[in-house]
Amino acid sequence: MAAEPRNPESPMSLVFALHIPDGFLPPAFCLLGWLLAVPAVLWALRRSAASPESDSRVPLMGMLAAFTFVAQSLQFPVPGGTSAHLQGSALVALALGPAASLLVLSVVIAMQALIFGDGGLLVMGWNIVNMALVGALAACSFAWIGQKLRLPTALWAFVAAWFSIELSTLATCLELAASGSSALKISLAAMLPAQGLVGLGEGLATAAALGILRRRRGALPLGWREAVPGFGVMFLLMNLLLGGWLRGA
Amino acid sequence: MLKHSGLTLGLSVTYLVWLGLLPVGDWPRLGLFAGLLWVVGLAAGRSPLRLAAKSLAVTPFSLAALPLVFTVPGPAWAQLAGHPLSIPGSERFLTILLRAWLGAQAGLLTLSLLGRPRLLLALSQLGLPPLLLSIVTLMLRYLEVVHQELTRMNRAREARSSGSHRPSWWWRAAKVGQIAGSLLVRSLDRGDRVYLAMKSRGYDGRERRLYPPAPPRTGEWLAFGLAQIGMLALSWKW
Repeated sequence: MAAEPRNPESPMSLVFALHIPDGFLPPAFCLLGWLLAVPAVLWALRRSAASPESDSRVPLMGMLAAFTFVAQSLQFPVPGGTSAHLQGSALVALALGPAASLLVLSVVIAMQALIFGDGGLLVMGWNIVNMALVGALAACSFAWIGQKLRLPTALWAFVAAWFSIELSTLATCLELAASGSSALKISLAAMLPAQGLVGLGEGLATAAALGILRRRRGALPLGWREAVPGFGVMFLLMNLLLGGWLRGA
Repeated sequence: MLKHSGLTLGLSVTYLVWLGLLPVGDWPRLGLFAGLLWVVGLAAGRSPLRLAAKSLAVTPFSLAALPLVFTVPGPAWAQLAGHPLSIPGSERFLTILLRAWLGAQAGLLTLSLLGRPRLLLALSQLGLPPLLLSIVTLMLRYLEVVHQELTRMNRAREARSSGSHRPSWWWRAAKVGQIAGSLLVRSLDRGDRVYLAMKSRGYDGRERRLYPPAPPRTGEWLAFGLAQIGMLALSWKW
């Protein structure tokens, strides 16, 4: 099987979309994504099964999966004349907590790849890592900080959603660099500012949605247990970024 | 033809994997994979033309790869508004587009062959954990309901926002959030009602069937194995 040709400009194609399609990353590198995603999903399954209210939350998780699937068709404008869709990772994470949201988002990503060809099957492991693992866990960590500091809901929801988008993007850039598909500096310069603009829309949408949700159904309190995995993921990402930067990738 | 749900879905998944492993710009093999899919569709009584036309709806997802045409370095085959269209970039873009299109056709064919109940059975036969299976089951059940709700809300928003004034992008982003929030609340309310209804009918998280599904027959295993060998032969660099 011939290897995919490497190209140093490919991140331009992912500027406004975080679903990596098949063909962007070499097949062997896709396997690594699965090796990260499968233990994460197994961890989430164990955490969810151990929860005393696990069976009562299943219909809620199914409903939120359907909601996220549909919500990703909601386009919002991005300054500069284009548009992006709601990703929903932060919203689902702040509504359900990290473990349950990881399961819900993984199901959504898998069904999108299998039915609509949005993303790919080989690269699905990395899509789960980027959107379900990094995006959702980081959102919970930022939301926990916001709750601890007693900030207004709209503010911490906005910040959590914005960082969830930016950190998902950072993870995508690191993967493109690690796979040799693009230089880290090029992908960071192309994707982070653009996704930062997308994150503004995502942040506003998440803040508004969560505000309505909290008014109608009360707050979902986040404890340090929900925040720690996100801090771990962010620590790892920052180390990888630093390592990549020092190596001049 | 395979009757076993798990093997049918397994065949579809392995088709997508083999398809994803095809090299960029290998048009003859992409054509052979398309032919294989359409032959299977015809044998199952599904029109390839209809499948191909329906799957065109997913191509916008792959348009994210369009900038590759301009950004991948290499010899140009044409110019568009002063920007060169590179040959390697165009090959990569077309390969991604074709893979997504064929992948969507395989997904639609599998869905049409199995239908929702057998798709869920297939997922359980392939070993999907019960919790994930429950999420998929409920998600598929509520997808249409949530989509209809969203369509109604969007129509109402359009009706309220008519006029020549063009609202700012942040106003529109916040409105999308309010719609998402209302949709979420309605979805959760409905989820609660469904859970109570299921609980009152004895739901305890386990799936029950009147008759256990039959295991695959030898002939079905053989057909599955032959299909894998066929796809390997089509993918192999002879």
